[in-house]
Amino acid sequence: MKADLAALALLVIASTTAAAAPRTADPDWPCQQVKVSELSVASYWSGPAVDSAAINWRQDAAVASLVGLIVQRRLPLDQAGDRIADFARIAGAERNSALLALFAGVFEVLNRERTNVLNGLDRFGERQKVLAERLRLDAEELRAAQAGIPANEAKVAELTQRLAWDSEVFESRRQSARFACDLPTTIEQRLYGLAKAIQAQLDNK
Amino acid sequence: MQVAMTDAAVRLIATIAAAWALAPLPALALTAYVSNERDNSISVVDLDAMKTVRTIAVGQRPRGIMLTADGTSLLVCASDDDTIQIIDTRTLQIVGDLPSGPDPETFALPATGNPLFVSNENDNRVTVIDVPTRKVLAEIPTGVEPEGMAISPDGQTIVNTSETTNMAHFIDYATRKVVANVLVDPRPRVAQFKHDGSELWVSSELGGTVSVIDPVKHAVKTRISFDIRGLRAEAIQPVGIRFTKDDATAFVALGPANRVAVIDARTAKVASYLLVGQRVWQMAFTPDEKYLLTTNGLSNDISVIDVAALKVIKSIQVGRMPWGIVVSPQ
Repeated sequence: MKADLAALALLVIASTTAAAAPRTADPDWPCQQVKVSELSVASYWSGPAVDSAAINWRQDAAVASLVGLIVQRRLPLDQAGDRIADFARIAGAERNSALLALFAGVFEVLNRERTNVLNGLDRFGERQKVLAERLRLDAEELRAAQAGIPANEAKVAELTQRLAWDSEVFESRRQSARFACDLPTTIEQRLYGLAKAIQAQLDNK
Repeated sequence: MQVAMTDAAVRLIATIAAAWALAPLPALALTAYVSNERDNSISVVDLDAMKTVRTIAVGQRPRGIMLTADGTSLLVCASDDDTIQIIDTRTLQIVGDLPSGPDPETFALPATGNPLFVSNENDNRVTVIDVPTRKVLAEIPTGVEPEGMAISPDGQTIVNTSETTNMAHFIDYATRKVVANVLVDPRPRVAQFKHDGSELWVSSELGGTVSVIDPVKHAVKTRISFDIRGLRAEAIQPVGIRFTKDDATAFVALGPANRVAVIDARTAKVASYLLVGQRVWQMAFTPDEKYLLTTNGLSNDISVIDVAALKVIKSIQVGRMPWGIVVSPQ
C-alpha cells in the first residue's frame, strides 16, 4: 500500500510532465497552447494605423470611461457594441479618431490584463516544477526507508502522509491549470469582439 | 362508408411522407460541415443561404472531418471517444462508426476513396481501414507520435508528421516500411501533396514556416516564411494548407495571426495576406473553387473567401471552437 503510494506519486509526476511538457522556449509555461507572450495590434485591427503609444486615450474622459466599461466581460458583447455605436454617433466629426483612441485603450488594457495572467501561469508552472521535484525526492526517500532493515516505521509513516498530501495538491493544481490556461484565450476573444464592433463603426467614406 | 387501407397503400403513403420530410434538408444545397471541438457537434452550413441551418450532436472532441468519395457519408474523428463516427449526409443521423484506434485526430483518403488512413497520436501508429466493410486492414507502427497525415496522389506513399521528431516520415504502403525521414521546423502539423504529386508541403506551427519537400528526392527544396507588418513573429503559426486544382495557388492558415497567406505555389512566394477570423485553423474549397472556407477556432465562425477576388466576403457563425471543415461535392 505504501509502496503503491510512492509509485502513484511518481506516476502522477511522470504523466504530468509528459502532458504539460513545455512546447515553447519558456520552460515554466504550463499550458498546451503555444505561448504568445504579447498581442499584436495587427491580429485584431485592419482599420487605419493605430500607434497605441502615441494615442493618449486616458486624457479623454469619455474614451477612458467607455474603455473601463466595455473591457468588463460581465457586459455582454452585443451591449458593448450598442455603447460603442452610441459613442461613435456622439463623436460626430471626430468619429474615426475617437474610435481609434477607443481601440488603443481597449487593446492596452486587455493586453496588460493578459500579460498579468501569463505571468501568473509562469509562476504556477514554476511552483508545480518545484513540487514535482519534492514529490520525486520524497518518493525515493520513502522507498529507502521501507527497504531499511529494520524498516524505519516512523519515517515511513511520515513520508507516506506527506506524499499523499502533496500528490493531492499537485493533482488538483493540475486540474485547475486546464481552466487557467483558457483565460488568455477568453481575453483574446473579448478583444477580438470589441475590435470588430469598433471597426464596424468606422466611417470608411 | 369506411375505406380500409391496404398495407401497400400505407407503405406508399409512408414512403411519400418520408421523401417529403427529407426534401427540404440542407444536404441538397451546397453544404459545408464544420466540426466544433468544444461543442461536440457538427454545424451544417447552407452555402447558398450562407448560414448555419443544422447542428448535429456527435462524440467528444470532434476534429478531423471528411466526406466519402460518393458524398453519402460524413466521417468525423471523435478523438476523446476513440472512434470515427459515420453520419448519413441525407438524414444527418449517425449511422455507425469505424474502428479508428485510440485518439484519432486526423485522417486521409486517397483519390480512389479507399482505404482510410488514420493517425493515432497516443498509440504511435497509423490505422488503415476499409471504409465499405468498416474493417481494419492494417496497423502500421510509426515509432513516433503521428500528427498530420497525407497520401500521395498515386496512393503509394503515406506521410505522417511528428512533433516528437520534427520530421515528415515517408511510409511505403506496399511494404509498410518507413522509407525516408525529412527534418522540418518545430511542431509540424499539416502535410499536403500538390494534386500532381510533384511537391509535399508541411506546415510547422512553432517554427512559423512551411517546408516544400521534393517527394522523390526526400529533400526540402525551400522553406516559406511569413512576415506580416505589425505582427509579432510568434503569432504566426502555420497550420492548414490548400492548393487550387491547377496547383498554381496555395493558401496557408496562420493560426493566431488571424490571417490566411496567399502563395504563388509555382515560385513559393507569398503574394498577400487575408484577414479572417480569430485563430484560423483548417480550410476547404467549394467544388467549383469559387470560395475557400476557413475555420476560426476562437471567433467561433467560418470566413468565406472569394478566391478570384481574394477578398473575405462573409463570416458565418458556427459552434464553439470550430476545427475542421469539408464541403459536399454536389
